[in-house]
Amino acid sequence: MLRMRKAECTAGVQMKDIIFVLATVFFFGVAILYVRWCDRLK
Amino acid sequence: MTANGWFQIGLFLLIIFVLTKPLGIYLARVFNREKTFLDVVLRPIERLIYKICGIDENEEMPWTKYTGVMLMFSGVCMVLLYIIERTQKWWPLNPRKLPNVDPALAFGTAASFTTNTNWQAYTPETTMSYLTQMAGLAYHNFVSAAVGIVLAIALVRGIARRESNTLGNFWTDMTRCLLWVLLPVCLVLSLVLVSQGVIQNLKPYATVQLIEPQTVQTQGADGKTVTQTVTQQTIAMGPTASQEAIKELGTNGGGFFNANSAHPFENPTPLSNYIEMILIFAIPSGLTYTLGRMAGSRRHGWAVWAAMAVLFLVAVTISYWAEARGNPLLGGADQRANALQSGGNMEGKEVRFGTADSALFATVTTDASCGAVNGMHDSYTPLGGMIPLINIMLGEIVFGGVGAGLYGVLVFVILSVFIAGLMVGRTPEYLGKKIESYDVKMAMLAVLILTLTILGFTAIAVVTPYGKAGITNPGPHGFTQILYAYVSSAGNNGSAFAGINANTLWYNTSTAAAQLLGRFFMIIPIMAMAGSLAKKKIAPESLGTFPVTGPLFSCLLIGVILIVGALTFFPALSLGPILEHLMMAAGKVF
Repeated sequence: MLRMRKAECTAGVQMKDIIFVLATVFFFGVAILYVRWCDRLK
Repeated sequence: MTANGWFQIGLFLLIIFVLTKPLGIYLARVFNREKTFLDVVLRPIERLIYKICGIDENEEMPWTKYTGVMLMFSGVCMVLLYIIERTQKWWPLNPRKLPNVDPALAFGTAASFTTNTNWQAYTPETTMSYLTQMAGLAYHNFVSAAVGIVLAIALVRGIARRESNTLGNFWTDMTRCLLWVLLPVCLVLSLVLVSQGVIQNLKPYATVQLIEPQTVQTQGADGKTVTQTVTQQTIAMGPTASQEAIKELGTNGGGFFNANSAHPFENPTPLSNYIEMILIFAIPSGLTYTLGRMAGSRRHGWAVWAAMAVLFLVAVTISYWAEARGNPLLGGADQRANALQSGGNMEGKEVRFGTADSALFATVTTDASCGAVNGMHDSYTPLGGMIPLINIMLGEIVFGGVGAGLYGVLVFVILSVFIAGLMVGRTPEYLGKKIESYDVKMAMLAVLILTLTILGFTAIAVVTPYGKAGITNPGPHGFTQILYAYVSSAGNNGSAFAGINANTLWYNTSTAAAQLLGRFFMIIPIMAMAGSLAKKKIAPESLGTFPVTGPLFSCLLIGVILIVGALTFFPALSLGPILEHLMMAAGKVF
């Protein structure tokens, strides 16, 4: 049952999921760079 | 307008005033790690959490680390919420067997709840399972509120400390905020709401027979009108009270049901309505006293509170007047208040609340970046609907969101001190610390991000087909719908005009971007400012120091807020609600 669910779950992953997760990581990565930029501005 | 309506508004502000000092003292004691009455129960739990997570509670963080840790925590939480939504059909506590949430909607919702916005471009009863609502959304209601509060406390520490490189520990602040503040209050208030009739269960939805069957007409697949007789109704159930309490206390605003606080299962009685409004303003108001206590100037805290209270009173007065006046084009309809009706414009409002409590709730929720609604703002009169818009445009600093309101208003305090310093020809000083160019640059970066986000996205949406596709009313009202969506998103409010169709790829992604920018790109320069202030020495007051206490300072602060906040958006308001009001006066509605 668990293996079936895992297969379903993996099969259900769409390109949009990858894009949105990467977009989230990208945003927070840029935010951290913004922190460093503000620190260097002083 | 009635005497009872004004009495309720006055009583509300009085209750908030009375709660401010004790709550402010308690918050200061929690974050200063002084003794509180809950220590006996909570201190062992706190130590256990630190032991399991490997946290050194004595470690202090500079502003860069504090902010970086907060960003990583928020990012991970957002991804986890996305995963929960996208896999919900495989998890338990899904009695309706709801499918996985669509990717764009899941992304928009994850961004929304992570940023304390709680913009809901979906109908919760038919979209989110009980597990998603509890483990995903309610969880974020708690942590996003805690993030806002601890960031405000970090800024206050920056103001209070001298020649220090650190602002506290993000992990201990979060733990104490959740354990000492949010969880205990919500536990008690959830039970109070249950006593009023807010439901709390995990039952499947109930199907009931209608007393009077309804005949409805729908369009069939072939385009022909089909008449059906409906004999049953499905009534949604769920663990509502536990989410309702933190929805208001944490100024989140995301409802368990689509109708939000207009739904009788979320907000059944006028008393529950009043309690919910008090919860919304409680912590933001208390934090102004916390500012005064921690910074060593209680009068300054009260001066900030007074400025917020004046702006709140002006807003609620205009809103109540506009709604009580009603629609002048409904000639012949009796819109006067009497024993049988609240009077005024009751479209989109709940009869159990009436005009006064609806106008009050709309003002409170948009002042406080909560976003819960007990009536549909889209149905308000043009000027009545303009007030919630302006409240958010001011930057959500009239009491504001939990934490976000305080750090937002402190940006305007810094700007006010800077302007006052220029006026008297002296170096600007704030509570003994010189305000330098770096501090003003950071304050302006925080102010500008809101402006750029709102106006930028609105401009793109009104000139593109995918932006205009969401409009449901033509003319200036449609423009206001789009403007409100981005104002609410960037301001992290989350209330909707309720007329726009926002569940599209464009609106889900663009509002998510607006929410993330409005929250995190505003926080970062503010935290930089906090770090800069913490390092400064205290300079003694001189004759040229502009006092930050008293009515003069409060008036200056109000002036700066109105000039910077409101005038920035005056052209947009002219194209939307102001134009609509003038056209209504000329006999045309939309």
